[in-house]
Amino acid sequence: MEEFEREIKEFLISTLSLEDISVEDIVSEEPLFDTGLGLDSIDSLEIGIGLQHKYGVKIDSNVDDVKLHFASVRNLAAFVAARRSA
Amino acid sequence: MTTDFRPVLVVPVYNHHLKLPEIVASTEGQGLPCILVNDGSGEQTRDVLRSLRGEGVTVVDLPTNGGKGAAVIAGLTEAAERGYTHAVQIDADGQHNIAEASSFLEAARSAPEAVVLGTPTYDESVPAYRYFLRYLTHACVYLETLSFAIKDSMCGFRVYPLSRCMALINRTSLGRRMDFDVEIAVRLCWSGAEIINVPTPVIYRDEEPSHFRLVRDNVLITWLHTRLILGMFARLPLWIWRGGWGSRQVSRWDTTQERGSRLAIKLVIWLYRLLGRRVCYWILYPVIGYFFLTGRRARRHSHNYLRRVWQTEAGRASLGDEPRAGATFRHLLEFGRSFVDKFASWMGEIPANDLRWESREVLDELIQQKQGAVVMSGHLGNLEVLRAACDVVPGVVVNHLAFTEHAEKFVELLNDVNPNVGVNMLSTSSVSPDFAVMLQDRVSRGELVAVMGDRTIGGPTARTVEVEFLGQTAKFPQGPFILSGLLECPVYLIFCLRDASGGYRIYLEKFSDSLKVKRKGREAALTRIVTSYAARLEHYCGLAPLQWTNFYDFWNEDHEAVR
Repeated sequence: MEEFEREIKEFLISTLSLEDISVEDIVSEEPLFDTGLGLDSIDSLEIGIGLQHKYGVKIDSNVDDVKLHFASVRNLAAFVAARRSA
Repeated sequence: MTTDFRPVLVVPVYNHHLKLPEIVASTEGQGLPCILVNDGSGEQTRDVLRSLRGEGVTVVDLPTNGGKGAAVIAGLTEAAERGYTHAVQIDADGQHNIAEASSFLEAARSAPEAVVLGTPTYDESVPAYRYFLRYLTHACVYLETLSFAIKDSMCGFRVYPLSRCMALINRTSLGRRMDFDVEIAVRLCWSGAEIINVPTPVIYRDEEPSHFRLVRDNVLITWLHTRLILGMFARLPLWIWRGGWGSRQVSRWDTTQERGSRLAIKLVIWLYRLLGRRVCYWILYPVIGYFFLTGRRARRHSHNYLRRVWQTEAGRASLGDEPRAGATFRHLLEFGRSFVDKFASWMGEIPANDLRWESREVLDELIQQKQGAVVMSGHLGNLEVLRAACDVVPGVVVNHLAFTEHAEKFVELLNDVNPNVGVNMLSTSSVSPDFAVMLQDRVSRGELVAVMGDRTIGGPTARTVEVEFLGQTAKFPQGPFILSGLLECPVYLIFCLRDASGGYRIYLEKFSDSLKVKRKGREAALTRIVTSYAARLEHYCGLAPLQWTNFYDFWNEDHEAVR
């Protein structure tokens, strides 16, 4: 799982071209938005599209608890992993 | 909830000194500091005030008599400067029982953002004509606030939350005389403040002169209610849109408020059906006239914008003479009309033959592609009429994006009240990761997504890019352009502009095959894209200058004002 979290971090860095941030800078438990990594709503749109492109995972706020799944890298990794194997 | 609660008593004094020592003594007992405002009183009262000055008692001297409102405003200003959070207002003539202040403060402490108003419970002493006048005023205030939130707007015993009050005082000129109490209560309600009513006994006393001079004050009060009723009409769209005056009220009285909005929308639909579009246009004249006279800020923003458009060749051709007050009035009037037309199109009452496609071949191309697209507009003209236009072009679905929770609620209410209202509005209060995915689905089904290129997506902290627009750099949002890029589809520009006949011309042009940009060097690419968008927006502003509906500081020229 730790490895997959690392992959998600790499995915975030490349999708959002966070040039000045490395995988080591991102803490798995820290919040992605506002505080923590400090992403904003436009980033969230890109992450949504990116997840579909890269992992074929489609989020839908009618079914998924978007806020929970996108709270941190840890949650996001767990969500993507579960959805992929489903 | 703030723990910082520092109340002070504010008493406007004009030749009422008999009860002052009693009031001051009582506040000392309650540990409540007080500010006495001498509103140009005579020698005798001044002497009493001088003798009362002391620890916890401040006296503010106004050299000439400015009226009760002016005195209270001076007192509130002093209180705010001294760092108090709440002000208890009480009349100096002793008609209120100062010992009751504690129950007022208790209410204020439990809801620090609320305004606490006294509701008089009269004894036998009240003169009959006053009684009648009160009922008349109550009826006016119910109408002005479109609610029964304020039980009594005239009682001079109340608690104000100072920061909200000072914001209101700084942006509007309130009545300076007897009209003050009513006006500030109504305007605080409009601003979304919660109102708490506390019953309190009132005693009329003979020994003190009453400053309520019958004729002059009644003229004043009549003018006040004329102003406030027109003000209510001017704010009616906002009230319907928000489902009340403010979010706080909505969260507190959710169901009653919503029932109220539903009723109001029904009423507006009924009125609209009864009167028709043309009569609604006529009603706009007094409403916009009021707005024109009182809306200093809107007037200024309109003038700034018109001056800029006039500098362009096309703008000058459309506007004619150098824009002055008349042009600003017509600009505001046009804004009112666009609201009526919006409503008409929601009701499906804009006839299809009122619409003309200026560039039919672009539309045909768009239809033939059988591919979805982004149609991008701006706050110019009236995109809502597209709904009627799309009846002409079967099979084209337009999804309007709206980024407020008000929109969501509003659409729900509209559909609920009238299922025939075909509002295809996708609204979201917060942009979440699935939003673009959902839009992508729609585009892949061949639907159109309508976005505004000149307003931010995702709150005030959203990213912007500065480009030249009408002769000066202005901030445009990045969001709509990035979103369009993510959807990987063609982007068209669309503007629906009203022409002289009252119909609409629809301008459609291809903007780009795809706004997808590489992350590397994205800022520069976005600047290029937004620059060409701004240039087209400028072109269309020249065609219909008065149909610009951004009534705010678009060029960020106001350093003093906060939006």
